[in-house]
Amino acid sequence: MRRPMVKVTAATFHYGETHEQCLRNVSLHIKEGECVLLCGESGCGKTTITRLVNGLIPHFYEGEFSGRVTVADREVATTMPDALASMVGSVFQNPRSQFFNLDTTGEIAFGCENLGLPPADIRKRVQETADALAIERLLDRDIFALSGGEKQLIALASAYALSPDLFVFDEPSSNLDWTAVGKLAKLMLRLKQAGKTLLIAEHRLYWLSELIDRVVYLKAGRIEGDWQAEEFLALSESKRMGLGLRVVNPDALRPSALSTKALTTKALRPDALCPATLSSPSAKPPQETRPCLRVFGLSAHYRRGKPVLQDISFEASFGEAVALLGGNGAGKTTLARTLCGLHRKSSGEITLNGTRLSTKARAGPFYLVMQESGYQLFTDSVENELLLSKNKRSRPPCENVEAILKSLSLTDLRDRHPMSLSGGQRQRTAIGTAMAHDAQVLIFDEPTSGLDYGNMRRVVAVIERLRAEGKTIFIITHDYELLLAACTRALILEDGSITSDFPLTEANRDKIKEMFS
Amino acid sequence: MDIAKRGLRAKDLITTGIFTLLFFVVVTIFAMLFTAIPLLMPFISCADAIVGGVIFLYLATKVRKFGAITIMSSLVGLVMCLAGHFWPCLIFGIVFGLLADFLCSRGEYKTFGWNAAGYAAMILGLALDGYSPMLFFDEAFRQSRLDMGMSEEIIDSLLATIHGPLIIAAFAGAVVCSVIGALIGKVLLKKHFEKAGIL
Amino acid sequence: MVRFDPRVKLLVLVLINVVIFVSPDLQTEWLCMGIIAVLLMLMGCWRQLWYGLLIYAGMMGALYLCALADNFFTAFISMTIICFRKIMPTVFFASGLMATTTVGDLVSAMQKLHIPKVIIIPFTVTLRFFPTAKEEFAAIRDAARLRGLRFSMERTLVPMMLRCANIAEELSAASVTRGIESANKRTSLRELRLGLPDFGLAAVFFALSVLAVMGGVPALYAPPYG
Repeated sequence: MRRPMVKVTAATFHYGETHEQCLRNVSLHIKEGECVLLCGESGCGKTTITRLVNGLIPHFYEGEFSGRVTVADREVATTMPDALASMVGSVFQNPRSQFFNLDTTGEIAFGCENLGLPPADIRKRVQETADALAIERLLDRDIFALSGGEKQLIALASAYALSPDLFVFDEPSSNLDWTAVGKLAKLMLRLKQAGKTLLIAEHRLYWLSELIDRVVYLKAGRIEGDWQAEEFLALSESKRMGLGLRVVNPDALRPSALSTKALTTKALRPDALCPATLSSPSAKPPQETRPCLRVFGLSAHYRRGKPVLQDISFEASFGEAVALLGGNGAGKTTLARTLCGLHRKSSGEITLNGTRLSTKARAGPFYLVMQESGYQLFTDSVENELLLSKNKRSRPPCENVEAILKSLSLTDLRDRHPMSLSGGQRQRTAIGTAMAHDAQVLIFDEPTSGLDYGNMRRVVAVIERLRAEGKTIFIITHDYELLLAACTRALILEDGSITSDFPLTEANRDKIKEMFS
Repeated sequence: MDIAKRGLRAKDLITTGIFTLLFFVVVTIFAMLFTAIPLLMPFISCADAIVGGVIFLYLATKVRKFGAITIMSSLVGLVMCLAGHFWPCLIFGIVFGLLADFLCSRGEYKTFGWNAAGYAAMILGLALDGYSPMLFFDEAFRQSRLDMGMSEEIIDSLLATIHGPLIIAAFAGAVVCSVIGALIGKVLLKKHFEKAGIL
Repeated sequence: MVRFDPRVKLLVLVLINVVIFVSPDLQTEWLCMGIIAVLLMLMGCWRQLWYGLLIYAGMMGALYLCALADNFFTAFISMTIICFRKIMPTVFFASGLMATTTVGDLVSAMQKLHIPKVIIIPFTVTLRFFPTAKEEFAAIRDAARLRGLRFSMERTLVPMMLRCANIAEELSAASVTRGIESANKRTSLRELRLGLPDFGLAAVFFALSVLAVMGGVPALYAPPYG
């Protein structure tokens, strides 16, 4: 008979001055050793529940709270955060901003040092943590030299070193690539086998399918579903989509992008997003097969002369959506930046519509939507962001800001400051600026990381529209669902060279699956 | 450490640390630019004042507790001191930081008037930092030029230009610029930070 | 490679300041730079060593050129260069210090010096945040370039501050959940202990400071008379 580890009773909470209830009368009991998944659409309250459990509410986030939360029979509201630290270990979404130290070993020891454990004990714990999580090779390294996945492992190690019995994860896989997610899943399984209790708030579900015991579904601050793992995994696809959740069984997915009619009649519709593209002299009636972008012999390196891209050559046509795949360090981001003219140390030829473009000339016709939308938004309202992009183009303005807002479901949010939006809404705003910028080639860097099902589908719809207008799209992604739904072709990079290039047809699906397993 | 909700919590201290770095970067950039033209050296704090206003106001209104401003001013003074601008920087940083904090606290860190006054106090401290090397550089400059065989006349005329009315202009400018900087800060805070829900 | 206690390194930083402040002559400065260069070699900071010496040599070269053409204009330039040159020794050593001291060591050192936590946390965060700030700024600059925006305060400082506000919150949350607000006395993974190299280093710089106070290197061969 396992004792309860977490007891949340009638919890109601809203942050700060807002009166919108974030959690409404939530009650949840978690037993010792259980692995529970919290899921739901963006803003449903799953992150807030994790904060109730690790004590950030009420000790860090201010707001109105009523109800009771106990962890291992201790009341969270009256227990100091440092006492909670040795009971509850927390791993957050963004590995880049969790580190107090600049060296990995120091970071792992951070919690122990804060709590005043004896030095010999600290050294022992660091060693034990390194063994348990198999990260011996990550000790004594500079944090800036680590990949996203490795950083997340250090964050986990830092929490682990305090030997808590309960671990709380807030969207831990958001910024991770495939291999990193696999490693994380393995480690979490080890934790579970050691008897730890795991509480995970997540969008991407299938990497957890072997790990979880129970799934709790939240909607608008209330618990609306609580299934045992087998029950949940047996839910039909339509039921799952109705709940707004991501795919659970990736084998069920089929590549669909190539079958949508990208161009021809759609492109000439009157409400197409920017007719100006098609009426300008350089864009003749687009045909899918004629290449518009030619890349030849592209190479790039960093300051120390280490080559990142080696002699890359490929072609892309109007209306294609090309997925750029590859592991960490393969060169995807560098390729994206070089195409846009952001990476100066490069050589090779890039030709668009027959015109060879120098590095400086690329920023107009090419556009990159970055993974972290916070870097790209410069004004004080969504509408102004779109207008900012529009004004920079010397073309006659087309009345498309309204259309863009509508297509991205941003009309209600037009006056909101971009930084007040949720992650998904901000991402859509960034995509909106790309549409308003009216480039010929658009590159998306992880456009769906951290997005729920509904938002992911919106991104797919936007990509389809852009293809219909004749744009050429590149997508860097680790999101299998997005890949199959939106991309027509896959370019696989390894060590700076292209190793595979094939269309995403049913026949080729297995090639992709290999990469993603 | 006192964990009472009223004192400075970890969130406040970390925010202070990060925004002090931003302020310090602004100060360093102008210090390097203006040092290229020695006549402009006393005016470094004027440029700092205009750009740094938004950073100062943000910190004051976000933390809203006594101590954050003092720490910022002292840390800027300390790092400038360790980077070679000499001792007075640290003393001025602490003293004027305390003064600034006190002035801001009169308005509970919310009232623009008091915050601007506090900002002016901190900038005055910075202006004094900018001036103090002049006194010591005098010696060093004179000595090293003589070492290299320059004539006394040129040295003297150079130094004479620097002291006197220029310094008064610099201090007056610092106060004026800090008000301008505070106003700019207020506009930007309202337009972005309040609207974004951060403040 | 010799490892020095961070407390002694901090002391050296302070003493370097004293030496340069007290003795305005070039030879003492050169002696100081020389000792720092040897120190960086001992600490294994080769990159910092070469960069620092190169920059310093460049400055001295420029100063001599200015002295050759002795007019008002070159006087101005040399004054600027001297301002930068005066802070070189401190910056030179600081670069080595930052490269060899971890955040944890710095916190431990300050703790042993009885500096209160309210100062330690902001101070270490300020120093530690520098590389992160560089990365964030580079990303914002790239994004601005991409969108064709010009450099302005609203387009640079505001996005930077918004990012910092975000990071400050995330970093604080992650630190609080690992006990940073604990009232317990903080311990450290690596215990600081003063060893022979530390005493040696301190002795060298004390001697240098005394020499500087007494008039610097010139005093060695022309002792001041009463």
